[in-house]
Amino acid sequence: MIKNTNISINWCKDFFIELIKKELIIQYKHTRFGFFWAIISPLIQMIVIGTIFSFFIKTPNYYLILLTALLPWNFFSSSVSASPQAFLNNRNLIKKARLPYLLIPLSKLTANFIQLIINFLILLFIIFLSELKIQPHNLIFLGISLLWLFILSSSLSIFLSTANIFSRDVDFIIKQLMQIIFYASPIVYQIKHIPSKIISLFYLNPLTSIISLIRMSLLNQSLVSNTIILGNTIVTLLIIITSLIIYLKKKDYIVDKI
Amino acid sequence: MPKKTSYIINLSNVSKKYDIPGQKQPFYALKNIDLKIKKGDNIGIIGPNGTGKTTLLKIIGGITKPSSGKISIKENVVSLSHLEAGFHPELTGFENIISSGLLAGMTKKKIISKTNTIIYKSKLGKFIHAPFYTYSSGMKFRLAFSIASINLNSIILIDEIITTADLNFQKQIINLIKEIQLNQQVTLITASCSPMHIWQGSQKHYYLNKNKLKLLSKKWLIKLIIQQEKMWEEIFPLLKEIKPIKAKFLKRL
Repeated sequence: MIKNTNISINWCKDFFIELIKKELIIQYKHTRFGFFWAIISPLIQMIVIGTIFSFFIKTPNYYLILLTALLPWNFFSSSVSASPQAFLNNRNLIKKARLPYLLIPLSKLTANFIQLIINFLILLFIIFLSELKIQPHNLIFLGISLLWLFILSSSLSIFLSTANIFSRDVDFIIKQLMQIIFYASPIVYQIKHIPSKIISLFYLNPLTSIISLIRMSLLNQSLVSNTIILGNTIVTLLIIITSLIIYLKKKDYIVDKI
Repeated sequence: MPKKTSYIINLSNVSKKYDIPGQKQPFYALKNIDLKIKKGDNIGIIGPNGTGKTTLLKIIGGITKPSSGKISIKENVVSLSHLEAGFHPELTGFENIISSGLLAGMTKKKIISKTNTIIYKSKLGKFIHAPFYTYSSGMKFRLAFSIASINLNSIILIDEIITTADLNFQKQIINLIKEIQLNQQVTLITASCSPMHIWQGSQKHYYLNKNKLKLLSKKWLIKLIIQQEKMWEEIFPLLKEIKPIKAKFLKRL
């Protein structure tokens, strides 16, 4: 037993904040447009995908419907698909210092999440300027779904960063899966477009509820049934529990495997 | 009063094995190591490359856990060889100070209050605001050491670092550690493959070879040093030529 006590909760908090700061500074440090990239890139994506899919899907405000899903999707896909490399990229830190490893994937994720929040504030401002009306009490669903998204992505990040240490194939598998998940989530389409034959598959994908709840709170459409929410919640809980069990079981071996 | 020796570091029967990919047999970096160290002890660990010195220090530093055996460490450990772990190359030296200090076991408050001292000690001047990747290895080390030196108490681990700094800075490190030792009881563990680069004030020397740890008598230590000098002369033939000239010089002095 090591009675060494320099890792306290307070220490973890301070170090975590430093890691997040680092992530935010490094990302935009040598770029000319800096933080604007975080705003510009989803807008470009929205215009490209929106132009193509508006030929097939006829819905008023399609661009906004798209953007409300692209913002959480971009956060999810960039955080989760980068997570398998989280420990490997910080080999130096893990091999040479004593710290709770979990802070490493979580700091990157939190930095991304801060950018997501800023993007949503801008989106709220855009909606405020448009003729659409937001029901203020509906905004609570936005809060809930963003929190849900954060918890889901962090559990997946912890799981994937740990799993990739023991099998480096995880990184490749997840990058392929991401392409499937993009089309298997109501991003370019809405929940009402899903044929009833395959709707049960969406019980397994928590992004269904997350995206639909965001659309419901901001655009007042895309109602999601309680059964889907329930199914998605159970899947999320299972992901959280599995991730934590795997991390706690394997954390002592991480340093020797990288 | 019953005499109860309390060890600040106590490893008993510690083994560390690594599974090497593609090999059936695990590799033992350390096997059944016993090491007891009291507060204030100065310990030197000598051993050729790949005999487990670094693994041993990593276990004492809490970075990795032993595969079997018991270990108890009762105070904060600062490892001087792993100083550069907390640095990010894209950030400036200044921006790196807090995270590096945290990894050396300090609180954020203490680091912020000591920032000026750190910058002064590092002698980096205006380069403190240059990105860390532009630093020479000496500059990196000076900054890292200046940060860690604020918090050098309890247990200090030194693994082969002294050889990487230039002689002037080596002298500074040694003086600083001596100064700290005067004021407080620190426990110092140095490891090196060369018996000359062990802390000269070490009272106990261990020899680590083939994953076993042996206590070295003074006689054996001297033998090792002579052996090394011989090797040096083989590697650097100039040393042999210099010998008679050196003797002459010394006589004249």
